[in-house]
Amino acid sequence: MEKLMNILKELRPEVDFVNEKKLIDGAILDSFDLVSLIGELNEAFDVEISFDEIEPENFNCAQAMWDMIQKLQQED
Amino acid sequence: MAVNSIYFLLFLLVLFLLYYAVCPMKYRWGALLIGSIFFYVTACAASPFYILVTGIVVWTAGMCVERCEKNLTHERESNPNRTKMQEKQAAAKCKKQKKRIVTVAVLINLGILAVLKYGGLFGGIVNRMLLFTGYSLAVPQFLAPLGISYYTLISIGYLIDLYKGKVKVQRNFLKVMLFVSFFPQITQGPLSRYRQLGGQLYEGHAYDYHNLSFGCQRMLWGFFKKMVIAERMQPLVQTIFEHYESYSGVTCFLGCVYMTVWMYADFSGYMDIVSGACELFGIRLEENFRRPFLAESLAEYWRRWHITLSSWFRDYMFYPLAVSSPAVKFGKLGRKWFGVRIGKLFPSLFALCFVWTATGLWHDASIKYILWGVANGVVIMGAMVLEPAFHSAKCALHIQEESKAWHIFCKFRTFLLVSALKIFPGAVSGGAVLGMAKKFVFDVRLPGSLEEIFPGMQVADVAILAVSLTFFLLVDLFEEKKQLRDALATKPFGVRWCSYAFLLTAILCLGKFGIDMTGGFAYAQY
Repeated sequence: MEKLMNILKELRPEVDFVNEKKLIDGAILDSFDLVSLIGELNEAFDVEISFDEIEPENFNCAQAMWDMIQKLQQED
Repeated sequence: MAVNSIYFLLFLLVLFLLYYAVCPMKYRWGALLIGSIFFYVTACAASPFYILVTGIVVWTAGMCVERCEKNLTHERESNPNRTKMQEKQAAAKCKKQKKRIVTVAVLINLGILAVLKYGGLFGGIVNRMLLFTGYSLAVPQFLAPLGISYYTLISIGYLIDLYKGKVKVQRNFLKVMLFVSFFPQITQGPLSRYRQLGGQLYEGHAYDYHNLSFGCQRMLWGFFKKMVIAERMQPLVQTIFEHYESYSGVTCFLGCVYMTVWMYADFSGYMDIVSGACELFGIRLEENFRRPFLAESLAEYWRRWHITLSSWFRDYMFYPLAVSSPAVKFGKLGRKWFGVRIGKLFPSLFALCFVWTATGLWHDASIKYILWGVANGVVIMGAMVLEPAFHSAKCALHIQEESKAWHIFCKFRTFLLVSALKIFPGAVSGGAVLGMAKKFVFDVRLPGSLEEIFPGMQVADVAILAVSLTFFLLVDLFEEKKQLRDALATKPFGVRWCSYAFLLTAILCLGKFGIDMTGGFAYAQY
């Protein structure tokens, strides 16, 4: 989780990723943030986040992202 | 056989009878396959051998991918006590094998496309580079088979989806051939996905009056756009682009505007004809257009124009490239050099460079189309990078982004931009692109006569065109809110049939007939 938080902080230092629960629904992260983020997550956690996985419920908060990564790691 | 010919209508009639009256429900897909083979053989001037090779490669790759998955399942069942690590290793091995199979199949398909469509372009470039040595390569000239750019991308989409586990393998070779060669999409798309089309093709559909009625209505509307508008505009566009030296910059720019409208009427007309034809058999093709001239930016325009091509490039090229390792490195460099705000754009910019070059190249094997693709990419990427500057400018000028006037301005601006970019595909040569661009800037004379606005057109044709285009525009504006066919279906019998009769009469009285093998459709050349 710490690795994920570091990636997120590096991408958007001004956002409070610990408490924010509406990163997508609240339009805090835009499509460019998501594309950058997914590339970094793929590389850092050795997963393949497919286009179909780009859903608000997977990216609305750091915990949701972490759950998705763990699910993908188990599927692999 | 052109889809806007009497032969196509006869072909559809026979196929309709074969599908519903002769074939049992279970084998109705066979009728579509027979129809597709007949259509391809009669419409394609080149050998049907190449599409057969593509079908064989796609089917073989699918079977091999399935074999890999079966082996993995078999290993799992025969050794249920494997450790998690062993299980992971076996899955990784299977994935690697599948990737290798799909990569080979994709490369074979791209190789066929590269040789048949781009061999001349690349051979010419190599020969120009070798000019100073005195040597030159013999470049064989191939006649590109009908629809090669379309069925190649459709096949690649199926293979990648298969690798990612999004679709199940199709074991029946003939069914694979039907998907690859399905007649309504073979000439100029849409680029259907197996997920969306496969099931519809193979399940038998029962006769339904609603499908027949809606299918015929849509075909009629397509014929109107093609025969009354596009066929009338085509000589106008050709005259201006072929003789641009004789016209002022304003007339040259009007040529670009006419080309934009002509291509929309032509291409969307084709889509309406083939989508209507599919509806006769209970099959829904993916929509390729969503009122593109109502777009407020070039990026939005591409989400409304040739939608299946844009989404194909988004899913199979843009997204994988934008999240790839080189893009991540590029993004990190961007953040380091330009800060977080601009840096986050870098992975997308990296992918867009490839996507827009490929889009240009896909349209035609020529430098001017590559330039057209690059120009589109530059405008879209420029808008992304300069967005904060535009926002500041709007604030400084007190522009209300929600106002109606601003929306109308954005639509108009996008339309003119799309039209201006038509200079690349429209001009007859690279020199003509420069010549016309020069006229846009240095030869601004207002047209003094109708001949300078509509070169080579009779007054009656201008009047018919004006009325038809107004009708076309009104239908588009209506359909932005509601489907016209659904609205018409609620009207009384007399109103509906009067509308059909009116449209049919307009086509027969005002339509231009006399067409070549591909029906003179603009996108059939790609």
